[in-house]
Amino acid sequence: MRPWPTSDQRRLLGKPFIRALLPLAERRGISSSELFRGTLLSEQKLQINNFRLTDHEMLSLLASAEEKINDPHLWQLVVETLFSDRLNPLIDLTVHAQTLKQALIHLSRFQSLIQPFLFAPTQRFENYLQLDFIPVEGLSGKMNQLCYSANCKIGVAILLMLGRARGLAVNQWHVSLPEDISPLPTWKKWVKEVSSRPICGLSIPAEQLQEHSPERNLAQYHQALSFCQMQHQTQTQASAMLSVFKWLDYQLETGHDASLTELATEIGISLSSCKRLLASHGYSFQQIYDLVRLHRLLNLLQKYPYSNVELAQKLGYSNPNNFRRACKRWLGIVPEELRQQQSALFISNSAL
Amino acid sequence: MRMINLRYISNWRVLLIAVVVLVCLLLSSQLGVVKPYEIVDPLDILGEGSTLFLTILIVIFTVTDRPRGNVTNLFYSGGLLLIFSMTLDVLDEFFRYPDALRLLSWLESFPLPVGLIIISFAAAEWRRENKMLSRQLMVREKNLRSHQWVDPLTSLYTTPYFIKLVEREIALQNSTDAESTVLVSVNFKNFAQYNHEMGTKAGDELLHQASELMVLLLRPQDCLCREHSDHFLILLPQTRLSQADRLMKVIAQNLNSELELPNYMSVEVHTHHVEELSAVDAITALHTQVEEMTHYAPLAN
Repeated sequence: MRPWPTSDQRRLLGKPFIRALLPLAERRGISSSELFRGTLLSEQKLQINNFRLTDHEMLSLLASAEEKINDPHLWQLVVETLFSDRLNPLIDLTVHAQTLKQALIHLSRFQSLIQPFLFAPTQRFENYLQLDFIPVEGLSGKMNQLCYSANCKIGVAILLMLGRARGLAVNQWHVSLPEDISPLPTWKKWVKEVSSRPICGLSIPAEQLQEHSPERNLAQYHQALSFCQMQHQTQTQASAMLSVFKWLDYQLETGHDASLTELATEIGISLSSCKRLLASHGYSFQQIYDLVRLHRLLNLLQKYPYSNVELAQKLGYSNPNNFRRACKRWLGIVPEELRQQQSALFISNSAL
Repeated sequence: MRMINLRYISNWRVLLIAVVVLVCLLLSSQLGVVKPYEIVDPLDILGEGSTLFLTILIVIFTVTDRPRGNVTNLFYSGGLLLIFSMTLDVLDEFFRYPDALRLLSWLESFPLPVGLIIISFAAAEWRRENKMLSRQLMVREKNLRSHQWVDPLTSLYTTPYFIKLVEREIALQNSTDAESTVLVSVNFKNFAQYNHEMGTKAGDELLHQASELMVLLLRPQDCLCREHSDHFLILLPQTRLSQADRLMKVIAQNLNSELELPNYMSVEVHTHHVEELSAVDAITALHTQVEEMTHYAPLAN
């Protein structure tokens, strides 16, 4: 695993996002100074740092906007502004990519140019692709929840707008949202179904991944790609949490042990440094390990209604009772109830 | 509490207050002699000084937080005279003036009642202004004020508030045999396309103008709420369906003509006579009606 950036590095290019957000906030009665109040940001600081933000600053801005601007359509409008005003080269790059698959790869690679939502590794099922959004931690309590809510809405909005801009049949897509995040009426009109799921995600029919964009502009694509590569600090710089997530997921899949010691060894740093690094992103090792297990659990149940014994074994639990207790702790429901819920999702997605 | 704020200092009215206080100080110091410390009464200074301080604060807040206009100007003018008079009253505790010099005594006494008379006029005008504002707000808020349900773009209330109102009207209808209630849905066909082509700023402005126009055209007893995006809900209490249809036809025509909508856009209006026993059922029935009409309209065409 390559060394990753810490959450206090100014790796995010916030200008397009802020340029889209501030006028919308202003028209809804929230001035920029009011929006920045309670965050680590100010107009002066933005100018000094040339609109480059740390992860933490971006998270606090998202939480602040979600709390203060009482408009459920806010993030959809921010994303629409990014698309219509072409404020970000990453938007152009994904709209004019050859296929949706290529667009998603670009989105994952250059996501620091738009906002730090994180895709979990995509899961390919029989006839659809599952994209999930990892909850990004780092703030406390209520602000964390607000930030996750904002992240989910932005992520879903970007993908739906991308699908529509590429002329894809988004009415075949399936959106899943946690119970405490309400889907926009617009989304309900656009997609096939909006369902409830602990981790926010999107299901896209597999055949759409190779569809070519009917209005592809090659010149714009190459120009956007150059811009993205120039603006992106290090081309091979991976998201910290995504790297850890992938490693833990791989360890579970191959049946290897996953511990903080092994993670530290894998990265090549001391145990205490590893702990500090995870904490700087708002996670303890156990928290992120639980998140990976939860994500894996949901995807396993989408494939097949495995029994508790099978699930325990696949998730690295020595005892099915431990797994059962963990499920109750994560979701507030027992595996049997989750199996019923996910079976419905499985049937629905199989029909995609 | 922030005592100093740049926005206050940059207001010329606030600076003028400071100038008035300094002029009083200048007058007193030039025309009078400083009293010995022993005969200065601290309680008097505390009383008069705090009154002056609070008056200055009230005047500053009034002029900086109220919109410009006659009422604000009258409050300011009266307040300024009060400040002038009260400043001399406070300085009176520190300076002794010659007995033959009556000027300062007049300057201290005369502006006070004049200032109070001007402020009384201002208060009367403020009362009239509030009545007009309340009438304006009636179409937005009726009997309930609940700011967490206000839409930040249009300042209209949103669906949770609308549900409360409809519940109230249904209860009234059932208990008093009042005239029927009609719910109306208004939305802009192809608004998403407009937003995409013209940008979100133009989309927001259109919604803002549309809401202002509807508020203007509706009756005082009606209520307009923004449901989401370009969808609005209107409550027409004690209105027959035929009346509602006529009223909404006029509103739709005005919206179409005043907003200068592009050719692909139009205003869609659907009315629903409330027969349901709950607000949620009534609004659901309205939505079902809208969906059915939208679905069958292309077939009919």
